[in-house]
Amino acid sequence: MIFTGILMGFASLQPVWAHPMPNSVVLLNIHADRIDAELQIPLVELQSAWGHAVNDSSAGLVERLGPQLRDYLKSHIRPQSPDGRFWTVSVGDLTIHESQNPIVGVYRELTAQVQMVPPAGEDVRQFTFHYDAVLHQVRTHKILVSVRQDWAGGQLAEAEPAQVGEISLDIVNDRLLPLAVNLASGSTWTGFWSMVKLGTQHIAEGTDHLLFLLVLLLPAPLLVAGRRWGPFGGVGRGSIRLLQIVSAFTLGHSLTLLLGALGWVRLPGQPVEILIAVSILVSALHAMRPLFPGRETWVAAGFGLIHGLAFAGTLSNLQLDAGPMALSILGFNLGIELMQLLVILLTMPWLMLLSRTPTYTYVRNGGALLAGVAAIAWIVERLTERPNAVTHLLEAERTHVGWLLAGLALLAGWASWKNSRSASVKKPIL
Amino acid sequence: MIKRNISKAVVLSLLVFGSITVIESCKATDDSSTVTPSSASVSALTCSSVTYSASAVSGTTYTGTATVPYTGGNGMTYSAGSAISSTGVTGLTATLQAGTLASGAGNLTYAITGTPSGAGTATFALSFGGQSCSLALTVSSTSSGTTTTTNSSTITTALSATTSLSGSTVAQIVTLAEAFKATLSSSQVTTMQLTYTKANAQKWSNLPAALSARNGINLGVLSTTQLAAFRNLMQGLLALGVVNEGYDEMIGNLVADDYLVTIGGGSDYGAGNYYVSFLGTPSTTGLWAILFTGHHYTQPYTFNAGAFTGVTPAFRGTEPQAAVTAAGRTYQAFEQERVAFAAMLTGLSTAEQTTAKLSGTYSDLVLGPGQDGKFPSTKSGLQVSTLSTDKQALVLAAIKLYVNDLDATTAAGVLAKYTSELAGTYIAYSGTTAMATQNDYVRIDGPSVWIEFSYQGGIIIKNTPHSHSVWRDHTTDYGGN
Repeated sequence: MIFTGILMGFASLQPVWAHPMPNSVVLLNIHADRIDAELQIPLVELQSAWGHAVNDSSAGLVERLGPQLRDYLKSHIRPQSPDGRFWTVSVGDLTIHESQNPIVGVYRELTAQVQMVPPAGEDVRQFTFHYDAVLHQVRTHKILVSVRQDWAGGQLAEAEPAQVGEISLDIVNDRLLPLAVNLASGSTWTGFWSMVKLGTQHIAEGTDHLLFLLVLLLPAPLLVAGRRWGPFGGVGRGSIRLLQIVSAFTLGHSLTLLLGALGWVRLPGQPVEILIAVSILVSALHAMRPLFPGRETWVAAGFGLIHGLAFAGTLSNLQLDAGPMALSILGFNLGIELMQLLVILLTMPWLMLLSRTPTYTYVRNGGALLAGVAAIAWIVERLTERPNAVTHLLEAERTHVGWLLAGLALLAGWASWKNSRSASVKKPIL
Repeated sequence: MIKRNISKAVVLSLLVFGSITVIESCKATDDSSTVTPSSASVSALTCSSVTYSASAVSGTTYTGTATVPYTGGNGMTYSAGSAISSTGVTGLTATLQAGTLASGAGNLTYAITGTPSGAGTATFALSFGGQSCSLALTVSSTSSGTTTTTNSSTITTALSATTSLSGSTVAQIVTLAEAFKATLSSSQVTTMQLTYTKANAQKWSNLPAALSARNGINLGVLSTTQLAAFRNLMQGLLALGVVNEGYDEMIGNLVADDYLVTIGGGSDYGAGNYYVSFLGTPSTTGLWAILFTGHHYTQPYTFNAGAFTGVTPAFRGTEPQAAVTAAGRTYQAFEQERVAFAAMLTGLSTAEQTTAKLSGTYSDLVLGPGQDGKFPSTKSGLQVSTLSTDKQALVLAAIKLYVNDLDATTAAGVLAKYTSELAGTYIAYSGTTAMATQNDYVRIDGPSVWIEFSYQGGIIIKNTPHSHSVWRDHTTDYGGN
């Protein structure tokens, strides 16, 4: 998902008139002490510049010419600090794959992972980028340079890459100029704060996480009567239950978020996403009929472990060093908790109020039913990897939660008023 | 729970095993490099498992690669080989490309080029690293693909009708323009008639309109009557009666684009996606322009105070470069230009070619769409004044294929200027002088004229080059505005 976002982002960066030949792309990931760059070089242009039939015979290219390709790239990538000293450049993974743009259709390109380290004491954020791979020979080639991630600058790989500039022939003077890179100064605070924002955004947009929590909390204020949900169990008891469930969920997802983000535990995305949908279904059923009364805390903790793995996916995609990663886990988790807390503060008073009235049976069952339908739709979507009518609707209605909340408040007010009236009418008869 | 433990154990053992294997294979590489063999060697070369990047056709230039598998490579680096000529079907050579052998199995790459002498099998005797084998390439008989056939669309049929119109004065053009405008509905006029701004004039491209939007009204929505009025206007602006030049070149360009629709280009291509617009109201007094622009054809005409003030930037190109037939006519809209450039360059002496040759490679035009006013401050290549009269005539012949697309009166004025400035004009090229292979590029840069021609990779027809070309004027692009 993140990957397609980046590709689409780049399609929109193409100049309006565009070039029938594909461009090179350089994506920078700014770390505290180095820059990791990903290069994407179309083979048709690389062949024109370097020969070796790299495009005509691209199968097994890395095995055939890996060392020569690395030498070639090293000699054409030379970042330079303001004091004149050149950086240390090393070329890592090389892969060949097919790419596509609407103008040239399908073409093959080389992707290279390059590490650029400034001399000791020099800033990674200010440098002159001498980059002329392909362009040293092919004068019509263009290289788009963008920052994909800059943690200390508050830019994360989730957003569209920010274009730094284009390296191309200065036609009028027939010369190649390096690109001056001057990134606005960053700070640990900026990086941390952007992670907090990412955490809140993740919950605000992650309908499934919210829904799980809300549905699990639906029966929390109630007592169990036999195999059914009974009457309201009191504000004190309800609040404690609520606190327990939320804390257990938080504990669970914090644990796997930490493990996942550090790369100690990793599960493929699809099963995790399916399990999350299943967790909603299970808690929806529980909200209708008590399946695990009194053990909600354990269930919340268990499902929290799964939700945490999904949160971790976001962080492990960021490819951060240990220091920023630790701060990111902290900030991201803080953002998640803040948003969770806000949602609970906005909804629980109304649910508490409602749970003292007979209307609550309908609210609880109705809410659980809707959540169950949504959960099944998500399970289907995540199994088939294709959206369906219900998930489309959920996506479209996500922005209308404000109305839902207002409706809930009104309903709670009306039901309580009606309840107190009937209570006061009944009293004299008793 | 037990199940999970078992799977964990399996994963763990796989990991351990995997890392041991990695260490082992690293060891193997280290061992072989400590032995330091004197040269690259393989234990077997399998010519029978070759794969070719393209198929070969008798009498047609072939450029491709052969990928030949080997086993038992010793990890050594090897340099490019010398050309091995084909036997059986002759005319081709295979040249080993430099590389590094794998420690074990891998592939060698041979570049194969030339023109096969006939149909049959071209055989190359390969020898590498102590092994040899015989490589066979099948050459098919002359393909019918050199002439492609298409049904003419209603648009090109309507536009191909001949008329006895002539109109070359600005007053006559204004009359024809007003006549075309009069056939349009009021909403169509709103679409077609725009105000003159530099931004409107610069809205052209070498991409299909679907990928780079144009202003104006597209031919696809015009009725037969409206198309006839458009035809009269363009026939008044362009030269008539010359095969593949002037108005005929424009039709050939549309026919070629119609062909692309049928071979995979889809509805983004075709004559219906070419746009005409008037920028400013046609008059014999004010500033206005006619802009006709589509995929491989853009031609502006700028008028001011009753005179032609500019006919550039004009874009020409075509895919396919080969001939296309429509309604009994065979068009090859942009072949004469390619041939004229080849004649101009191959006519030069070796020393002159060396001076004219650019060090860089050009896979596209330098001053294509969006690169307005960026003429190089210093001209590159060979100055025409240093050439003999007959070689100068070849330069002028190439220029004429652009200028003489216009109606005779307008063309004469422009040509007089370019001829008078010929001595101070430079020619330069990159690639080969034959203008027949991908990345062949040529440029004519004078005090006023700027013409570039790029023979570049195919888009709809992969692996077959096609032409892009731009004609600009240092001072009168967009009428000097």
